[in-house]
Amino acid sequence: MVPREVKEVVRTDDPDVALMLLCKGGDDVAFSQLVEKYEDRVLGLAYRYLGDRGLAEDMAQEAFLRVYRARGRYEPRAKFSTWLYRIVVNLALNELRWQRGRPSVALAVKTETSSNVNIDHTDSGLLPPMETLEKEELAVRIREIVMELPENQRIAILLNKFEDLSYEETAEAMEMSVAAVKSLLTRARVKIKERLLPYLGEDVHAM
Amino acid sequence: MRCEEIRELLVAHADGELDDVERERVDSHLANCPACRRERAAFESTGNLLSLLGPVPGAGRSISARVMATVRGEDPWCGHIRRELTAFVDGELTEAEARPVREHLATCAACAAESRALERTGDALRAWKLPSMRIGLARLFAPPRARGRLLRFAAALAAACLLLAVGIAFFVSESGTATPPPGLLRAMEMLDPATLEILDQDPGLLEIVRDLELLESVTDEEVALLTLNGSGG
Repeated sequence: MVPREVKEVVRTDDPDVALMLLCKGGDDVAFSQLVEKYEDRVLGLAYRYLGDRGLAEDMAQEAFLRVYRARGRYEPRAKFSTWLYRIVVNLALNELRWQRGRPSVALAVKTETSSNVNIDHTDSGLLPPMETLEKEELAVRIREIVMELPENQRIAILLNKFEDLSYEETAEAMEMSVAAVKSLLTRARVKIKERLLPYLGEDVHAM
Repeated sequence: MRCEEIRELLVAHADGELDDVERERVDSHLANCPACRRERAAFESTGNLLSLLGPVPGAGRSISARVMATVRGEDPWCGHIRRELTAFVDGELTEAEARPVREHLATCAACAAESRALERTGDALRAWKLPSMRIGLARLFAPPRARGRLLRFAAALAAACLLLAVGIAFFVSESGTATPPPGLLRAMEMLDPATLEILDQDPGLLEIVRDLELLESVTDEEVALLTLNGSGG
């Protein structure tokens, strides 16, 4: 009988994996370095997903605590960031408390004033160029649209567009196939495009 | 390829996520189909629009501090010490058991703070007298009621003491004094019959009442009577 080959990729090229292995060995300083490195990204993902700062902080904290509690079982089979995102995705999609606690879209948008919507004022590639006020209004509208997406489409868009994960990395974080992620992202982008048509350039209006 | 098939691939095309074969098929279709070209442009524009949200303002900072504080609280050795801490402050550990606790408290600020809080709570419990207890007992003994009433009172007393202990812990932490809140005093005499029925099922609560050392204003005879009735069922 031929022994079954265990396909296991050990990521030795990822410095965060090295930190996590130190953490596994009992080095809490290594863990705190990982938290400091990723806290903004995890909080950003949670905040965009939930639309509520307080809940997002709770979710981010819970995600890091899960990393810490799982340190003894950690095996470097993927990039550390992908593993971390998978934990956040599991929290977002599988734990009802984040859905129960999530304020309604209207509330989330209402509490989001233009002063704390962080606008990227660099050229966004829009035709024609938009004034700052329009951009701020548009940012609020985009937040509304993202929050209206079904949870799995929303998380896929956030990972792909805001965390810069490739389709393959998004699929790994969401524990689904690349084809399924491609389908999720297409459906999400079609919905976003339909709602944003008034803001798009003239060339796409002619469709 | 038909337009419907192409449109399934346009988002991935705009994101640069198609393999070479698929990309070439989409490219050749787009070269001859203005409608799909516009659709492709729309996906690219919406992708750009999403970037308007930018980073989350003032993110992080607090997360790191909160996580590390919790992690330190979850240190396995701290967990072991915390389980021993009440017995330690009550002087109920042997010297061999108490020594590692003492050594840990000298180096762990969080556990030392917990130890001091437990000591303060214990002092508050011991300092507090229950002046209304005599009245309650006198009223209880006056009318010749059914036999189960005494046990019911004992259970009510136990429940009241537990309520008071929780209340004191809260109150001490709020104000630093050991005066019981009036609401809790009232609560002692207002436990509902259903609660009393439930508490009747557990004579072990009498032991809790005695352990809490809250019966200083009740005479020894009264305690003995309660205990006899309680243990006699």
